[in-house]
Amino acid sequence: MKIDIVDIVKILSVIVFLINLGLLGYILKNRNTLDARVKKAVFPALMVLPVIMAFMANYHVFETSKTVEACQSCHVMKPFTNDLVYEESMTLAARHYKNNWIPKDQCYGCHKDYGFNGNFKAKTDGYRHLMRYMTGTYPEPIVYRGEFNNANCMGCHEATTKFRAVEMHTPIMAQFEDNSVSCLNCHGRAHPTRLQRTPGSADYEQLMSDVIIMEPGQSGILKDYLKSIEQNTNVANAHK
Amino acid sequence: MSETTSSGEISRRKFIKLGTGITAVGGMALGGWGLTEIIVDKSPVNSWHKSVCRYCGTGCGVMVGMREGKVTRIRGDLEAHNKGVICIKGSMLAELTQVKNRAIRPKIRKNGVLTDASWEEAMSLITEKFKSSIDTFGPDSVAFYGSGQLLIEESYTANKLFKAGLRTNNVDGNPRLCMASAAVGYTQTFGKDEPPGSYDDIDHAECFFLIGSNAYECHPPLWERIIIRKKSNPDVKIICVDPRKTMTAQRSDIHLPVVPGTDMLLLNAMAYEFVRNNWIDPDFISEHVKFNDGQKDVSFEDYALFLEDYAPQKVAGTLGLTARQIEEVSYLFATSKATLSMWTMGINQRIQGVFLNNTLNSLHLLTRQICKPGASPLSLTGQSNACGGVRDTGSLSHILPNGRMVANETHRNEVEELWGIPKGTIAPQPGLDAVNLFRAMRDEKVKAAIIMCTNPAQSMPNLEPVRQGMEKCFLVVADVFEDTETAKYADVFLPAALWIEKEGVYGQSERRYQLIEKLLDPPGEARSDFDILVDFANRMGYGNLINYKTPEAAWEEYRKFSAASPYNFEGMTRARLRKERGLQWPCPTEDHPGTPRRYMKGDPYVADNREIYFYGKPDGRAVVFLRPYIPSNEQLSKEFPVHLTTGRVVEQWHTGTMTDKIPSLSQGSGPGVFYLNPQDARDMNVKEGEEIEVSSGYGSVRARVKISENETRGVVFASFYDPKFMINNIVADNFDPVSKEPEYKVTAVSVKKVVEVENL
Repeated sequence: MKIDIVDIVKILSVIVFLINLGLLGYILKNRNTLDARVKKAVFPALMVLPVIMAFMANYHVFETSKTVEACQSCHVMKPFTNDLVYEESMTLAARHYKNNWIPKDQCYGCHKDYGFNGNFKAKTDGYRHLMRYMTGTYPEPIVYRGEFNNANCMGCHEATTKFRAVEMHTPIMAQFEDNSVSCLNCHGRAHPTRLQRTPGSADYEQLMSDVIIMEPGQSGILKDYLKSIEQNTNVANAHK
Repeated sequence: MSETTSSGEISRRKFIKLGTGITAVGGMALGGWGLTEIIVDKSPVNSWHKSVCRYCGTGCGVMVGMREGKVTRIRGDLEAHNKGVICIKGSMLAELTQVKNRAIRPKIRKNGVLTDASWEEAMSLITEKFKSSIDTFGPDSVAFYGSGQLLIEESYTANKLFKAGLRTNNVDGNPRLCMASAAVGYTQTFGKDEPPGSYDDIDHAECFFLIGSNAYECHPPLWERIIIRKKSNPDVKIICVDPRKTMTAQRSDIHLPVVPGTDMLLLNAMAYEFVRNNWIDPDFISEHVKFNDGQKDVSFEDYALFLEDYAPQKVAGTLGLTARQIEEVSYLFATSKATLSMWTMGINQRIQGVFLNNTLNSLHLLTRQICKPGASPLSLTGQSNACGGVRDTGSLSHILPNGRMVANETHRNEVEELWGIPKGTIAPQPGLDAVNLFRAMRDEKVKAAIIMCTNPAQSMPNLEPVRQGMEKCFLVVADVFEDTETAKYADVFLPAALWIEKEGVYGQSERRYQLIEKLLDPPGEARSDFDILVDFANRMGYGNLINYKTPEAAWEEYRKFSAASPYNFEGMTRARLRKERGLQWPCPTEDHPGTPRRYMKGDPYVADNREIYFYGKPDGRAVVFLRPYIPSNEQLSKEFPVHLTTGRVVEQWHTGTMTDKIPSLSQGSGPGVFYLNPQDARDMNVKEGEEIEVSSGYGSVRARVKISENETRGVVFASFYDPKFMINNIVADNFDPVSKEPEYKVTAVSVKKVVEVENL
């Protein structure tokens, strides 16, 4: 099993939490005496450790929000995440996902402005989305406000020989930079369209259904086993 | 002090504290939210409007983003047939609306110089000249030369005015140079023009047969769709037949670099292979197909006998291929689950253009690669409205609206009745086609002509006689720019509105009609071509014939007109076109969804009890023609040992009058050059960037040379977008005897290095 920095932070924050709990217990137990040793514990217990914990929790939330599962947990995102795994889907997102062009955190792979290192605009946007979602004040289909940033594409593609082989890219680099020409202009639809995502459309039911996201390359023994059971059941049902 | 009462209830003080706290936190949360709602969205766009790209026949849906009366963004329309994909030219449409030096005032040539005039002066002069020409020399002394870029309402109006009003069939235009062979090909094979299938077939095809099409550069969104199809299904095969290793060929699975002008041999050899290996569908053939040698119906056995001359071993040498290559491609074409052929000018701009089109259709009929998703012969149009605007409205000299022929009396009478004009009004003789029209100007048979929305002084082949003709004729040129080659010959220049400065319908390759709405005002005094034509009709005394004043009213008339034939689009009301992303005809009723595939179930003209029916033919049978290979007039010789072939590049559109004014596009393409194969260059002792002179039987052109391994030995390539590099000066003006479409793709030339005098 691979452990990345997010998991380490998770474990660390639990450890810090336990230490803090211990310190607080120690202070409370000795609150009547308040000798020098107890006094020394007050500052880390009430200030240092909570700040570290808050920082780590923030980091953890921001980083785990990069996963496809995190995006999928809001039901308005379902059409987008479901589309990733449909065999017949030819959207840009689905092709990147199914061909494993982005190994993990595929949503974030193309929407790189949020996360811990994200910019202020993304944070305020995230907050707006949260409020809209919690209060149910969003219309379906949801609409992308603002402009998709070409830098998200360029991060991976700009240095490739394939990108450079297309001579037409060269004279419009300035337009790519200010987003006046979008990469998507020539390279297509990224997600299911608004029409498809409108309640009542022919595709709406399927796009909103509960599809379990399987990380490409992560279909371990258990998932294979479950899949084989599912197939056997289907075959058995078909014979009935 | 205790904050709770003895009974445990919250005290007044604590209640206030708590309330204040909740209000403060809630207020901050909501206030923050409100703030984010205000600050996050600073978009360069205030409103989005659906429209259609100005340029090619793909007919992409685009979204026009506007702010403060200006176009600020162009994006592909995700809901349109092109699924949000457009190309680099389309991406620059915002720049197009802001190009400086637009023509803003009518002009009249006085003492050799175009001088400002009022609309009244300009239109009066035109009327006077046309009237006097018709009075003195008869109606055939005037002509209209239009464009596959005019709106449907405009072409329909011009065609009606000239054929039914002025009573001349001298109505032609640049689609003659690009689509005539495809139109005749379909009409001969199926009885009706326009492709049976649609772009949706790309998503279902397993074998793509691209011949004479450089889709990567000329129809980029369609190529993107082909590649997406291939990426989602690795079994998909792409075959490209092209003398050059084009961008398309480089990305195909199989490239057959045929010798220019010989591919008729390949198509017949493929048919031979189909028959020899029994890859044909006998049931389908016996029910839906007949064979014809051009004069009379013949049997399948006659056809098989005809094909004997085209066995791969016999023709491979002339084609510059091996028999095995032909066999492999035949196998893939015939046996794939669905084969989609796509072609453009490499097939149409040929003296055998019609025969090639017939035979491509035949390959699909023989193998039943037709009338099912993914299988179809799909001719791609070059211009945004060549199909809807010109082919469907019958705005060429030999045809009438909706698939009717000038030479056919019944057809003429039908049209006369629909237009409410006396029988016999429409002249029975077809008018002059493009090449012969300019020759007639030179011979002073055509005295006055209107050229609208096109640039023949750069786009016609063998330009010298064309220029002579334009010099002699009283020429009215309506265009958006005054610096075009054609405007140099204008006696009256009329400033026209461009793209979203006017309203009307475009019809692209797959029979889809899409509305362009007016979003901007034309600059200065510029007017839409529609307004110019309506004004002209009134001045000529045909206000009763052209009795509508708006494009919408013209559309209403034509929409009802269409109901009398299987080109029926009566269901496409203006309101529907405003709302929907275009509709494919036949579309007979307002609740009809349009027809993606013709001649099969789902087509309103195929009865419910039939699966397939070729209703364009009286006996319901599509025709496989026995079409022999006839070598081009442009045979290589000692004097002219190399083939010249011409085409487009991705950044430029046609003669570059629009795209060359957009800096990033003109930088992308650079100035016009010749392309040579390294081996040829070495033989000729020419290095990259040096100047060469290319000569044909028609003249000579000099330009710098680019050397590329993607060029084929014995072929020199050039594009025609650069007015400083008039390649069409030396392109042969041989044309197909039936479609009258010139053979731009094959000219025999000589190449020699230009030696600077000081170097001698």
